[in-house]
Amino acid sequence: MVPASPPIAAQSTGRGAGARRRRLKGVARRLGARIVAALVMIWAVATLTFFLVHALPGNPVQVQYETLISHGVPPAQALKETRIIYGFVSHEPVVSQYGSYLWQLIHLNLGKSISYSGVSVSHLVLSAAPWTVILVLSGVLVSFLLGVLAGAVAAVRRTSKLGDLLSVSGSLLHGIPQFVMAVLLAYVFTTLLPVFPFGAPYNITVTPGWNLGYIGSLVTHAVLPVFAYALSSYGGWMLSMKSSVVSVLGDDFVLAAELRGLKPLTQLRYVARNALLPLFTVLALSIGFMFGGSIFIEDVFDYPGLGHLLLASISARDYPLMSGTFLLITVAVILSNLLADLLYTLIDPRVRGQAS
Amino acid sequence: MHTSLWKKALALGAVAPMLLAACSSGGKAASASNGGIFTTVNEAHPITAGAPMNPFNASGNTFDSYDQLELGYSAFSPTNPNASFPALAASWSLGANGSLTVHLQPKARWSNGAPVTARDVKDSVAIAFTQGTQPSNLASVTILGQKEIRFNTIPGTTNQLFTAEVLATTVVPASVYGKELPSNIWSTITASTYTGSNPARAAAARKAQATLTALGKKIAAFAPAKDVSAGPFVLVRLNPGEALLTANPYFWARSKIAPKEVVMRNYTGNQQIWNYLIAGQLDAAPYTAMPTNVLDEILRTAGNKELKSPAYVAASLAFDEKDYPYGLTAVRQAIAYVLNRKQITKVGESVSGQPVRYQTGIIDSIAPKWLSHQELASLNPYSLDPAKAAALLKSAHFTKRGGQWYLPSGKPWTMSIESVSGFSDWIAAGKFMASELSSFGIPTTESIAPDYATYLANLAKGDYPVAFWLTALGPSVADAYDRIWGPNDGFVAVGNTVQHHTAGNWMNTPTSYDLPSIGRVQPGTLTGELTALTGSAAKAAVAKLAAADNAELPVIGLWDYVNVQFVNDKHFTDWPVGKPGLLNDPAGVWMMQGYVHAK
Repeated sequence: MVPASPPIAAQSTGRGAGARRRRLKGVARRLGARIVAALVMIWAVATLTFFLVHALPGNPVQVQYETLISHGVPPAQALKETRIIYGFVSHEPVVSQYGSYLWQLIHLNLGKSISYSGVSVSHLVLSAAPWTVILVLSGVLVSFLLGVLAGAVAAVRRTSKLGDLLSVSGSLLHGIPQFVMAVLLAYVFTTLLPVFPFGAPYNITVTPGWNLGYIGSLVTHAVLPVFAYALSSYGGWMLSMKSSVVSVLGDDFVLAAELRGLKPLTQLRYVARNALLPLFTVLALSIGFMFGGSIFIEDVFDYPGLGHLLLASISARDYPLMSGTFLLITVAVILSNLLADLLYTLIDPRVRGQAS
Repeated sequence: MHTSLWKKALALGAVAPMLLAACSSGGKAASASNGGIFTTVNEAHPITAGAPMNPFNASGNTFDSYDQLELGYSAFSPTNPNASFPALAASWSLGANGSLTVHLQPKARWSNGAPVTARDVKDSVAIAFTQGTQPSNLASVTILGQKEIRFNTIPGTTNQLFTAEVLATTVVPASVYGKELPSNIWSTITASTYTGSNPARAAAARKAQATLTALGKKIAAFAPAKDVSAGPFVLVRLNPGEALLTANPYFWARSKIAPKEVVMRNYTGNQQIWNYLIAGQLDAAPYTAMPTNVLDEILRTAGNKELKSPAYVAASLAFDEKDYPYGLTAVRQAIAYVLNRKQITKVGESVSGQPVRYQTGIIDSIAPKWLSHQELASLNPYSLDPAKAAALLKSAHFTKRGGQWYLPSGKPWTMSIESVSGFSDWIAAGKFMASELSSFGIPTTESIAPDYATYLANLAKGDYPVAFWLTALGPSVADAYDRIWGPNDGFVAVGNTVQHHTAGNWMNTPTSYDLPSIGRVQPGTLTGELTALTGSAAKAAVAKLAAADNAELPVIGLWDYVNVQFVNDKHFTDWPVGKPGLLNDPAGVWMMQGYVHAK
């Protein structure tokens, strides 16, 4: 006797559920492997930066003392102020310092700053991070949107004067180093024509909170640093997008779409989606690199982000603060890379197909 | 239609920043016009995001003479380092046994309304012990009354700077910091000061010192919830770029303080201060190195003017005398004759530099206060004289062939002058000196260290035979000579004696000189002793050290820095013009002394 077959619908549902389970298992396995790899990478980078940072010549106490002397502080006062930080410099061998650094790291403790006399590095890094995020995230988004838009137009209208103009603007701005752009904007718009303020994230006389004065102050103080970042990054996005669109325009599906009489707007949507894919990974990585801040821009505008903190910690030879800041930047890049990999699977059907 | 849309968009774009700026400026413009806000920069202590409002933290966000007050402030007298301006101490007197009795300002109150008392001072001194910043021979303090306190010295010790060191005590409120101190703090302090040979007491002293060190770390990291100030201002809030301080209504001399608010700006480089000054945004700015064109631009801004006073620091060329041939006096003297200090200063520090005239190890402006006319006249000025330089080198068996000098061994003599990235005055001067020396026949290059920390580390390791070095520190002449014949030359004061070590010694000068004019001089020992000398004995010691410096040139002084500060007359006036001592103090001290009035 032949056993009764399950209904076709049930069979297919069972197969579908199994396939989904297998697919989910595959994704989980891949995700697990990536997370392990990311953790190993973080350990490797933490180790490398720890030893690199400690290999830098210099002594935090001496640097602090001599810096005060160079600012005209009398020796007695400089000595008084320097003595405070001496107690925060570790005098143990580097290897045992490394051991305690790793142990603290496992407990999510980045140690205590030398130049800030024992203030926790996590507190300092987390205080600076939001300013960098505001500055660079705005800069990345503005430059990405402008660059992608201009790149698409430059590719589609590449034989026109507008196309030429956009390409030249991209090449020109891409060639200006970030710090030159920052110095130029700062000099023109804060000194020659003092239209925008600089030197602080907002006007200190305004009470912070959800009020128009504070928000306006935040925006006006961020305009120049954000634009310095956006203008110096715009060229890269614009040129990449143009090249990507030109390449996609030569694909067979575009010809097929034309032959099938699809509307130009629909065609542009197809082209843009395909051309944007290579830029997506770069965007994700840029957001990761965001935590590295834009050291030169933060320095020129005295904007208090992570780049600023990193520079100050290097000058002061504040080893725990240097290690902590480097680590945060590294972790951000590794995590954004991981995230980009995962999201790529979601947004690109071809990759999704290969994965499953 | 399209044109109209574009126009609207453009107009909106143009107006938006102005609207935002208008929104963001708050009430600043209105109050600034009546001189209400005093905007300045604290050069020695930038604002540090995340640091606590604690003067014992190395990056603490408190501002000396504004919301952080000492008992007194140095008057920067070149001959009396104890001369001070009163602050929380209204007056003071030295006792026969060396103790110092301080009378606090009778009306001094904290910003919470509580009176400033001797208890606050006693707790502050206890904290100083935990930080290692107490006056060097202080044993204890005795409260004599609510506003009177005595500082007692360790019996049998002397310290000529005791008054200055006591008055430099930063006073914090016991109501905020007192709870950080254990009840047995003074017995721990007393135990820690034991220096005798009793093993049990010595062990107890080590234990007490360790306790104080641990406590010191805790206090340095302590973050008070709000600012409680006895100074003319109180910190209201700060962001990483600016701090806002408002007038302390309880300040004892409130009528002297013109600004209603102070905005302290952060800075990370000279360029930012230049930009603030050019834009006319600072009422007072500290000394900042700058080229002449920037100075001209700053002075073109309405209201800006410069105030000059001596700075107790000079830029010098230092030698590591263990590196041949720089241990030879004739070589150092020859180099001094080749260098045109006037031109070097013009190239390196034209705005705030004055070429060194006397080569004494102290700044020129105070040399006549320490040396007689005769002593000054007997010093070698080392005026530009390449012929004398050539003669000196020949006498030391150097030879010149084909326009280049050769060492007595026959090897060509080349030189490198070390400088630091970011020190634009040193770099420019170094380049100029390299060209002068090369023209004279010593091919010279300038080498630039990537940062100051690396430079100092390499200098201490003895990697640089010839390098820039800041000297003539003051106002104490003992500090000036300590910079040459002190720890960098291996001389360390231990108690009342001076010891010579190889550790930390990168200058490697001889421990004694035989000078024709004054006989044998031991400059390291004499420098160590100078701290304890006064009056004619101190003058005699300075005369010997100046003569030794002038004859042996362990360093060649290039230029004395001049303290060039900028003030703006738009909102405030009555600056302490012609008060060099006061100009070296922060502007809060100027205000307490009755200067700075609203226009």
